[in-house]
Amino acid sequence: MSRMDELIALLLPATGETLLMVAVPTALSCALGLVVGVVLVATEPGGLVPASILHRALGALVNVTRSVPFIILMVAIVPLTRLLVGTSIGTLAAMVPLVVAAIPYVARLVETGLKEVPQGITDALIAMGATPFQIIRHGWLSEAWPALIRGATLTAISLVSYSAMAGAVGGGGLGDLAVRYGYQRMRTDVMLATVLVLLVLVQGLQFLGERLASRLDRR
Amino acid sequence: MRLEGLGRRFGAHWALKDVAFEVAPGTIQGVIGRSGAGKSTLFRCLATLDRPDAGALFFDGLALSGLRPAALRAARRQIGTIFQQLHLLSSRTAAENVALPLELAGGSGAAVQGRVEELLRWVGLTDRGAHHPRELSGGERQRVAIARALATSPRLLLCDEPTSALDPETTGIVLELLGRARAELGVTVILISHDLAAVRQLADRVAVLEAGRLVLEAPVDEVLTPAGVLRGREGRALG
Repeated sequence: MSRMDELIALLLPATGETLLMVAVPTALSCALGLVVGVVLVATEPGGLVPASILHRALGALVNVTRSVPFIILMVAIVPLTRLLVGTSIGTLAAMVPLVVAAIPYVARLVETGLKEVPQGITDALIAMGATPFQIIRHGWLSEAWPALIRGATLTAISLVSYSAMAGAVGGGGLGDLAVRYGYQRMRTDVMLATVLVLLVLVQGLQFLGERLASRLDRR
Repeated sequence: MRLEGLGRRFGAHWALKDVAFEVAPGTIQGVIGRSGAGKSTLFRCLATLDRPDAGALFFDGLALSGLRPAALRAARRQIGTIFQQLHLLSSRTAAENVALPLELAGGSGAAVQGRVEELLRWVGLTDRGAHHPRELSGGERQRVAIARALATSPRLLLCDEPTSALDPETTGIVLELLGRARAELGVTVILISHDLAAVRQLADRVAVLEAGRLVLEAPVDEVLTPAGVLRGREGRALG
């Protein structure tokens, strides 16, 4: 087996694992973070459905989760990971802390995006007789769509970085490959190839996300 | 629409105090006043966006502030609202903006599409329905806002500075549409504006606000001269 063949044989499965560790947590955290972000904005004082206790509790939970460094969070929630997927090692197990870490991140991005929607849009929908749910759906989410796409892109890019960290402690993927071959076995070619793949991945995500957001932006 | 002792307070300051008048069905009521006189506060109360701190607002015999949420939403569908900033949804085309109140009321399919086409034709925008607001001129956006406000066939049309920042020709078109809304659709109109010429041209009666209080409410001829100047206070600038 030539060196190139060996490199490809190492990179392909690792890239697949990284893509899995980015795609699934991005989808799950965007779905759950969207709900948390909407609830945060809707329940704030003077908001659509003010509920200060819920708003403060949720805000505190988001802040606490965001304050914990990912590497610590990953270890701290091992019992939860075992409970949910039956193991704390491997790609599947790495996805649990990735989702937990990304939800509050997405929630704050959603919150920022929704707050960019002019108050006048909410007023117009209220004046039309819309229910709170209709205001969120037809006003907030429709108008904030480009910002939400940009937020999802940022999340996916952050998860590429987090997934490399998760890989270093048994999650697999490109991070694991870079540590085992690039660092421990001093295989500079593997290290460089891993960095190159990660670079392409991040650039690709940024390009696609920005293009989609610009296409949807009608302001 | 009947206002009884309407008041709205921000801290210790009453932005509106003891405002009372009645708008007869099928008429056009002008509301004028300087900047800071309380016009915008009154607009927000009439649009049920703000709850008055004193007095009551009656629409069709119902006290709006006493209504439960579902009943209030039903009442709001009977009040078409045109905001100064229009607040068209940028993510929707002109036709989709006009369709929005109908969708919110549970409408769908051919009935909504037919109504939207009828309204776009009525405001002279048949060929602009597929364009997004940013692709329309200021006058076209204003007409979309009028069509949207009339979508649910409201009995009252509430307009906040509908001619601000429009050129004279477009102002003429907008005023003509508001006049036609009353004449052809039987809609009652409340026109809140600092454009005295527009109010003079359109209104049957005029309410004058000053420092949050109603200082005069009378037929337009008694309030404004044919040139659109306040009677007895000629030369005084409003707005």
